[in-house]
Amino acid sequence: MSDTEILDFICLRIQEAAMAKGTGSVAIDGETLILGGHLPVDSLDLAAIVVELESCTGCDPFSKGFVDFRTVGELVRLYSSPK
Amino acid sequence: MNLLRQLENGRDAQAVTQDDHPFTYQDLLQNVQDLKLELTPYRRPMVVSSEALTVLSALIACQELDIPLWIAHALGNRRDFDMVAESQKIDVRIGDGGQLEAIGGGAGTNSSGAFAIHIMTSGTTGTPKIARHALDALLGRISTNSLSQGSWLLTYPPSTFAGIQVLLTAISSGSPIVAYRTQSTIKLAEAICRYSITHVSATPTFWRAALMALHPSRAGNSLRQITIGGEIVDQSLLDTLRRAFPSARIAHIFASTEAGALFSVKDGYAGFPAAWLSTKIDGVELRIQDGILQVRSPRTMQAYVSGHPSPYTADGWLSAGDLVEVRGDRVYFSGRSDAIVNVGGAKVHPEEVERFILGIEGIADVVVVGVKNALSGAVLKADVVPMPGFEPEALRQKIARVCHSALPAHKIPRIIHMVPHVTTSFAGKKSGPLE
Repeated sequence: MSDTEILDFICLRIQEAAMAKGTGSVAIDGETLILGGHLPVDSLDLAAIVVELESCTGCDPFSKGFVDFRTVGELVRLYSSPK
Repeated sequence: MNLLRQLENGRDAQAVTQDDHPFTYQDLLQNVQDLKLELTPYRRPMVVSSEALTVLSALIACQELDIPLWIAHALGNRRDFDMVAESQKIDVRIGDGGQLEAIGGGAGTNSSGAFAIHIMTSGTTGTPKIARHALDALLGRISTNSLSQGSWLLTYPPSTFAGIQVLLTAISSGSPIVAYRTQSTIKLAEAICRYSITHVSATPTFWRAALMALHPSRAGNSLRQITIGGEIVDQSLLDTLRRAFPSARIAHIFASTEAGALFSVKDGYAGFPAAWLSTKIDGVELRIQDGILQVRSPRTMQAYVSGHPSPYTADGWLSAGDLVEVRGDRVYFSGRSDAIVNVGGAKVHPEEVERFILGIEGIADVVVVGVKNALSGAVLKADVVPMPGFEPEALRQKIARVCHSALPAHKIPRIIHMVPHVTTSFAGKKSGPLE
């Protein structure tokens, strides 16, 4: 998956979580904080996104333990193919 | 009960239809006599076959020879078989078609014992537990109930406790059995029509899939007895079956490899009456300890012979590992005590979430599992089978909305996949709690 595809996938899943919770669509870019900002997602939504990203990309950035990330862009980079 | 006598009474009537090949009681009797002769030098046989005909012949031949029989699941690999054969001192393997293969030291090297039936649990991890049962105990519920003749469909592998119960029930009542080596729901559902099957015992997972494959307008009119077991039975399945097959008796049965056949519930409601906790039901005493159902029954297994710790309490009760809760005048099953998923530190029983989702219109079946991850321990994933005519994507969004509005955060499946069918284990049950 390209970085754009990964970003699109994350945005789609966040919008779906927003719909499920009855909130409207939300604006998202690379600088958007995933938790603790304006996004209607909780840690379990994020865990689901991580599980599905691993399944799509075959990459597990947490295989050696937790990796710190806060924004949507930082999450995209965790799953980016090595350039 | 002498099983051979049952065959002699049947004569030329149909006994078993195995993979669409009919066998009369006379054919079965001949099979048993041949096998009995070949088994004479052996003391500890193990049957490893997915053919009902072979398992049944082995059972009856061993009763005649008064030697114990081990029944293994045919889909296990050879290494697992060798391990069990060595630990149980098996001296002969009975394979498909009743073919014998001498094992280890061969015939006559090991001590014998009286006729007993050794059944293995169907769990997928670790060495199988092997439960020793007496035939009388296995027949206990069968002989105390008035048996109606009909034609049975075997939906379980013949090596499982449930499969053996169906075989014994059919033989005891002089009813023909239709059996296949495959457990394909489509094939089995077609057999209900082709053979005008009257009696079917199966898991809820089977029935949900069969309801889609088997439209009552074209079949199922022959069904007189529907039995459900092996997994938790939810009210929506009971209601759907009642609507689809209004003239059939519907019962859900509580049984396990270790506990044996305990009791069945025939009032059309999920769970069982709480009054049964203070009165015996079908000779079985019930109590709840720490939220887990315990039983004391004349039909439980005698012991594990596989070296596993005894599941009996010091005062003689058996824990079947089922979590129950009393609501009003009813006791409901809420899940297996060993099937708990840790979601962000909170414990969840996936079966509870499955039952909630099954209550949403348009859902044919669902399996909920925990998916491990580094952020939350596990997160719930639901694989959902939509009913025909329901648009999968719209249904997926509806499930998400309904779960978010009604369930606490840790019980909401955050991953929902729409699938054509759910994955089941060898014994026709849904997969374990984690993936």
